[in-house]
Amino acid sequence: MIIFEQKPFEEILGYLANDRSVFLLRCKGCAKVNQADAESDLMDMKEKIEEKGIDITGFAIKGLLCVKARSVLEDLTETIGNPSSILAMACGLGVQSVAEATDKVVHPACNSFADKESLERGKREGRCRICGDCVLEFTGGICPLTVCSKRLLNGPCGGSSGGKCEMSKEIDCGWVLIYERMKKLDRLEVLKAYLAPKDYRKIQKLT
Amino acid sequence: MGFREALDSKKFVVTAEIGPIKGTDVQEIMENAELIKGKVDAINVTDLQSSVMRLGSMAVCHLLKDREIDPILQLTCRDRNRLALQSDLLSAWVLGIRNVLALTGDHPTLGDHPQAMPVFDLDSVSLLRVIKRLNEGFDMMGNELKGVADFFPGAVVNPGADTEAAFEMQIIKMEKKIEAGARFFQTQGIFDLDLFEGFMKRAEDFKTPVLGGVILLKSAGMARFMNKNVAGVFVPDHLIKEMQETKDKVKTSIEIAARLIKGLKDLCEGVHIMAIGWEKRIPMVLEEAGL
Repeated sequence: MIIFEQKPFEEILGYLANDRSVFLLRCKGCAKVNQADAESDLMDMKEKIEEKGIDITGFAIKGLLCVKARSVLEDLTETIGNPSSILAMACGLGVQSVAEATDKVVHPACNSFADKESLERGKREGRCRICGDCVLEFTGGICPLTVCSKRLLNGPCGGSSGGKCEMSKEIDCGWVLIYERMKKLDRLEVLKAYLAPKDYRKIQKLT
Repeated sequence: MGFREALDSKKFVVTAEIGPIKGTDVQEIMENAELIKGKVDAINVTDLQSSVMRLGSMAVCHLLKDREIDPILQLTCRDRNRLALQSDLLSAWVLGIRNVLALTGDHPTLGDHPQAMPVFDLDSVSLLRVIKRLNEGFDMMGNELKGVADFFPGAVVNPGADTEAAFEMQIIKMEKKIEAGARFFQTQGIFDLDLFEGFMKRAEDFKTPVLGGVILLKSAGMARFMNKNVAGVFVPDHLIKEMQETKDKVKTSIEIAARLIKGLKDLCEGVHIMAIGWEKRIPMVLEEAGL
């Protein structure tokens, strides 16, 4: 299980700066965590965003976004409307799965942290380092900590060749994936943002 | 005149590169350095190039400094966390080293200790920011330093990145590096001047000096190997043919490098010569290029 905590609202608001409207998608949470407050979290968020003059095209609470994002989004086709973006109130796995299943911009609303059981899941999925300081906003919903062999936060090294990693032709260059995704989203400007080094006190909870 | 002053003077700058040996015998690299002393504006010393364990860059830079050669310390993020990187920078300053080239570093799996932990605690952009901060008198946590460095920081860029995504990301990252404090760039080896001209059209706007990379070709086989295995290096067929057909590989290699340097003179602010074992031939290359 991964515990997610909402990012400071100001940070989320920054992500939404260029959006006219947004759809709110709250993960129902895993068996033991993040379940109780699902509805109140969502309503609070809705209210706060509306106060800032951004339309909410709709909202939903859905379970297992980490594995079922594609079918969840299919089920929501009618209700989702045509928002500028989706705000995913979920862990890093959930955000990445939703981002993968849609062509819309998906903003992460939360930071992810490990609990004991999440350790196993994080390892299995291999996609979320549970770093406690989610950067998926700046990388098109693709995590540089897990797709880049060197965990580089500010762009590729010089070893990218034919779209592959210098380590192995079997591995995609993570930053090529991120670039392609951001290009598709027309958000290449965002790639110029500086991402600061990670706080390893948070990441080491994994081990 | 040191490297920084040479760049400031707007002359066409020449740097070379030496790779420390595996072991403690520094005789040969020091002899090579003496041969090119006075003919280049600075000498880069690589930091465990290709992730192969060797003598360190800092020690060799210090030896160069003792011989009145201005060294450029190559510093990668591969093997040191943020504590070690900052401490090494302070150490380098105390040893008289003034120029630093911030790099990501090759992945350890490419080298001779493939089991090693890849560190990459910082990346080349955050490392440049750290250098800027040290120059301002603080470590990256904002703690004040007693005695302050004044490094001249540089970075690398790969103009030959072969996909649109990789190329555009190189440009984006170059801009980030400049914002983070990079004052000069050295590039991966260039063999196609038209491609490089295309890159420079994009890089011109950044108004930061670029030293184009020149690799001495030793054989046709080496060219083919690089085409296959070195990201961003592309040796065109006509150059491979030239190396293949020549009776005097050294002479042809020098001619090719000199032609490239002459071409680069119109495109960028200097050249960075990577001789890869042929350091003693650098004076001949420069003479042939009219430098």
